[in-house]
Amino acid sequence: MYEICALFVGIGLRMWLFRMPRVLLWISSRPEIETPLTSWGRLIEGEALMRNSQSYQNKHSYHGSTLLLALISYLNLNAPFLVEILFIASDVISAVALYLFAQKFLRKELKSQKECKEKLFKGVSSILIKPEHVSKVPTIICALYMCNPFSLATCISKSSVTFNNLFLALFLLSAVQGSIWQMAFYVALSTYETLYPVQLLLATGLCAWKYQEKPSTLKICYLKSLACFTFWMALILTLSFLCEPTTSSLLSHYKFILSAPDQTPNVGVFWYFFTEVFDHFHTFFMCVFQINVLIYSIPMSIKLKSHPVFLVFMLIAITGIFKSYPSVGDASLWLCLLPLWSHTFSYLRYPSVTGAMLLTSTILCPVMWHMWINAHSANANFYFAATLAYTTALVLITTDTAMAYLNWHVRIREGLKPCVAGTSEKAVLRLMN
Amino acid sequence: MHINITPLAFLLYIISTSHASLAKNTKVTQEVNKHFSGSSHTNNWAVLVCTSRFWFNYRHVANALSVYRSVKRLGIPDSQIILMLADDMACNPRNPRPGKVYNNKDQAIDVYGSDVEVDYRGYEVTAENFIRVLTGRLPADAPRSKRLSTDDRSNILVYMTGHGGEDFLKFQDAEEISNVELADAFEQMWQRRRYHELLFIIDTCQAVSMFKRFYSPNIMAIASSQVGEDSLSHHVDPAIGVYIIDRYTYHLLEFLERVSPGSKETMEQLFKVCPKHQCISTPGFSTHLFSRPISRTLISDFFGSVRDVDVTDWSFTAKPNPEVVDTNKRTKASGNESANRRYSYSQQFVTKDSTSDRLGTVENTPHPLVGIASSIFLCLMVATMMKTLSS
Repeated sequence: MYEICALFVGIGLRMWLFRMPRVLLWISSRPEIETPLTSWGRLIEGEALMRNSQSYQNKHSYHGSTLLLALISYLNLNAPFLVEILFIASDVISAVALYLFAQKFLRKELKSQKECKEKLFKGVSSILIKPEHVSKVPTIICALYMCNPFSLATCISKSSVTFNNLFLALFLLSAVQGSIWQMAFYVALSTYETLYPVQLLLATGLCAWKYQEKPSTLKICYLKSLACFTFWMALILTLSFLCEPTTSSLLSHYKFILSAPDQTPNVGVFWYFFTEVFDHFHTFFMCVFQINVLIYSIPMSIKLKSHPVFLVFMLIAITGIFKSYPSVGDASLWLCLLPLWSHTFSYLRYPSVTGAMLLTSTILCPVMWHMWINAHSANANFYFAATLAYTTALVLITTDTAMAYLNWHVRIREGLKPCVAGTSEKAVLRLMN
Repeated sequence: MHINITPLAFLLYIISTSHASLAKNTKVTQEVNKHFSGSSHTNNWAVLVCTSRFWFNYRHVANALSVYRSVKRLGIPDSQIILMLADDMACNPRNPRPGKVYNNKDQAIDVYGSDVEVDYRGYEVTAENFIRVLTGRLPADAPRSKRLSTDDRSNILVYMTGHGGEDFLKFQDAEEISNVELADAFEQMWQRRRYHELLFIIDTCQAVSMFKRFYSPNIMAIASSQVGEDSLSHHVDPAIGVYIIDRYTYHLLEFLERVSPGSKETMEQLFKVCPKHQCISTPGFSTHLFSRPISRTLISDFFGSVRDVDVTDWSFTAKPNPEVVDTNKRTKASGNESANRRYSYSQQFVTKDSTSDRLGTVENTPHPLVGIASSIFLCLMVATMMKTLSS
């Protein structure tokens, strides 16, 4: 019931904000929300260039994917009002997908918790997943996603992060259902748009292995997911090639993501560094930064082998923080998923610090931007400091959540109190399988 | 005995011809000399800068305007003179002769006149604009009258006057230009081939310091005073109430009055202008960067725009070119389509309805297969989403 209310409130808010041109103008100029990869203004510019000349992939305009440009330009040409409806619908579908995902996931977790009751320590019932979680948390997640300012701003600015979040939400939903075809489809779609979700293939196999009805070995799951992903990716790339029959347009999109030539300020860590790095170190550091995004996937998938949904959460979080052109929309997806782990919140070490840091840095970023660009009384360092605080807050939330999650899994086996120092008790860390 | 006649014959030939050409010898020498030390410039420009403003610096404006008048009289047209003045003398409320600027107390010549063309006036006379004019790095919308459109065959006269100090020149009380900047500006001009030869005259206090950092070739410099000396003004006009001309420029103008277009005065004579007993300050010169000897460099190489005109006594009649098509009469029978084609603006972007064949045929309409494939894919995507949401 409450989720329907939340949905309607969210839809109402978006439709109301779409009618305010000054808000639209202000939001589209915010570098935290708009990046050179995802911005609507650049998409329109690319569309205009495509209509008037052949190539639209030039240095200062659209750098996104071909299919998105084709779809939006088709809609803009024939039914412009459908564009807003498309963005609102994408947000609604994401919220519904997240709601269903949370419900199914928590139900499955509760079920497996009941099945493993004998392995649990006595007296840990205060921190276990309870049926209230299953009923309340999905509503909270749905409401959070519809009404939080980050996703509102992303939807209003009509950036393509909305679609990315849609595909990731649907991926999560299909993950707990264990269907490899659908998972691979959504991974392919979001990889086509932004390159980084290709890491989710590691999680696809694991999710399929855990949540499938007929059990099979991990290797078969991985092979199947790889095959499905290749098929879908080939289909999408063929379609994209049909729309724009040059290979350069196909590759320039990924080249832009990987080489990040545009150093427009955003909430990421790339731009400040690459404005001042020497040219002969540029390639080296670009490789370092890109490896930084992708390298956490393999160790984490080894560690979180039996917790694939948490692995997906961590991968989405890390990608959203360290990718080459992040925005607040990337963060909004996984921040909304935090209530899923609300049963582990008692083990969070510094929730108030990180919460306050996130809030303060979110408010400071536009202030520092104004001081830098409009008032000329600050410089790039001020803005970078604010975005660095924002990034650090997100990183701390991620690591704290991970520690709390792992801690919880230990505590339900070993009891609420850790072993007393000075005694001959041995502590053995074993995750619940 | 077989005497070798050839050297003897040769000697006889030399003696006979030289006897006949003795009269022509000096002319031949002159011709030959002209090729070796005559200037090979094709156009003359002048940049005349007065860097002061305010009523009590009347003499600086009079300096610059007098040199302007001389240079114009000797042949450089206004289009090739860049005059930078604060231009606040002629219409100054303190000027008892409104609209007129004089350079002598006899008020014989109004150097302002009604035909003066000041290119940079008022607060546009800044060090930045001066360097931009010299180096040519002006914004794209700068008009031609504000540009120094010189090439590698241009001789440029740069005359600067105002208040200076050691190694700097003051621009309008707000900023200064250093001798290093000036030298670098001239070097930029040399590297971009913006001058053939350059004569730099400066009439300020401690003027020599301004040219002692020059390092570009083909620059000759004259300064009115040495380092540690002040350039002094010449006389005051009690009717106007200010000093109206500086000493060096006064004597320079006296010298230039004797120069007419086509006269053969040389730079060596210019260097003798205003010795110490007349100028009180000692003029300084720099010729080490200049490639020609100053005794053979003419005044008119810099101050005038004299061209040697070759008068021929033979004539030819220009025949009408049979290929030139008279566009007033459009004759269909000519059969030459390109001659009769109407000229129009070229297309900016190739659009669907443009029939120009310059870029070849442009296919902007996508293949119909694309539309079908995209819609199939969209339906597939929506179906998958529905399946995911429902199961």
